[in-house]
Amino acid sequence: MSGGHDHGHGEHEDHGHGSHDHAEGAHDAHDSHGAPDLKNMTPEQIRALQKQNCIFCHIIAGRVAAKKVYEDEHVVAILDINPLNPGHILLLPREHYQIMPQIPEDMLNHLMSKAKALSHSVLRALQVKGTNIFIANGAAAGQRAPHFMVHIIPRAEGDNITTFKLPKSKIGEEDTETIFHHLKTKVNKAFGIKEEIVTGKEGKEKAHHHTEEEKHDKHHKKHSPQTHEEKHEVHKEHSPHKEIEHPDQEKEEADLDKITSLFTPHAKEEKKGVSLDKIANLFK
Amino acid sequence: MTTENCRICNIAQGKEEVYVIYQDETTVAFLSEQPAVPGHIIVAPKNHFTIIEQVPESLLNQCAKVANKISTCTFEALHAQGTNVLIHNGIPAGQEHAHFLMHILPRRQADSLNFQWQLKQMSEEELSTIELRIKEQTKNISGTHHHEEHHKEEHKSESIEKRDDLRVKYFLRRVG
Repeated sequence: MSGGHDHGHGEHEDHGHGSHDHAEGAHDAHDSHGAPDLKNMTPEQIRALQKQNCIFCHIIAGRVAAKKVYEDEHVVAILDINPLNPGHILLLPREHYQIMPQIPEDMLNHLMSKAKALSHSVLRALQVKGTNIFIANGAAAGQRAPHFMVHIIPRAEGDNITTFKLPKSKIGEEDTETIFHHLKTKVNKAFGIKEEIVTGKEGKEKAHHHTEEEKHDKHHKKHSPQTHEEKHEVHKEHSPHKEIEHPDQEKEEADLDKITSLFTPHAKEEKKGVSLDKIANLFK
Repeated sequence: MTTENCRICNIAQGKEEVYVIYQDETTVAFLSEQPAVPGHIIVAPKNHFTIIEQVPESLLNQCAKVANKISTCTFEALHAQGTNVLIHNGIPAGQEHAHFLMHILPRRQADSLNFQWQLKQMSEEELSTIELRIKEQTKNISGTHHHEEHHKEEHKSESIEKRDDLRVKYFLRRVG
């Protein structure tokens, strides 16, 4: 095991690691310049290339030194050598996944379960009273390394870390309604839930414990897809509620534009009108 | 298990109105009322547990499954370009409600959040010390094929002397 740590891992891209030979399978998938020809590579070859370039895959395979604090057949946990706080752990699946949506349910369960266990270990080992558990999916979310990881970060009273303090903003009721409608439509689809989505104040509902009766109803609803007519029938009965059954394409686009603009409320608007320079240049 | 003054319990039991995105028998997901970003969602078990260490495995699994599905939905539903999952576990970690919950944060480039952090430099010795301390605890994690590289630790309870002794042996090995 090498003694030196001349490269950072954790959230750093590793550029100084040295050259890698291309994966065996990728030899025939190079263009004339010897660069990997991604267009003509099979998924397996692309995956192999990803693994070849992924420092965490190398660490997991034992080819690169790291401080492992836990491992089993599915996951490996290492210390981040440039931690946010001492004891900062990176929990990695052995398999090279990039983001959470790619991870099979069983594997994600295992990861969460071990994150919980590692949090507990850290509380004991370092005598701290808190941990942050953090996942970044995508560069926009702060993901730096292409290998999926769960951060487990010990927190102590007075450690002066404000990274995970969430700001509290206000989003107007109308915008919230739009967000709610879009999200709930998609989530219902994802979970196979068939129900009308109400908007207006009635969109806010009370969560409820499922009673036996409701369970039966839900089961029934799921397995008897309604026709378009039937749906309208139901709408009539519930007419006091305003409903958007099939939002037209334009409204959908406009809604999405509105939603995305909410993410950057302080972004400067496009300059409208004529540039003064342009006018001045006319006199030359 | 529920508690009277817990807002999350109240939400789970239908005593408060929120924008519920999803719920089932054990779990509820709703829009945060003080969103950090548009589409900020809270996923919580309906039953009251305070920290993740107390949440039963099956329930934690369900929360993770719901969190994953919902965060995936934000890509299409809100044109999110990324997502964060964040847990504040314990007061020093910024936990605000005494009821365990997960934050789902849809993200876009140049939005108002920034989770970049200052990297700390740590010496080899500091890191090794921490590594050993943590490994003493992770031994107890079930399903472990824990590779004890240096010594097989037979005794769970340790005196400080023994720990120091281990550390000394570790460094001697590396130096020698």
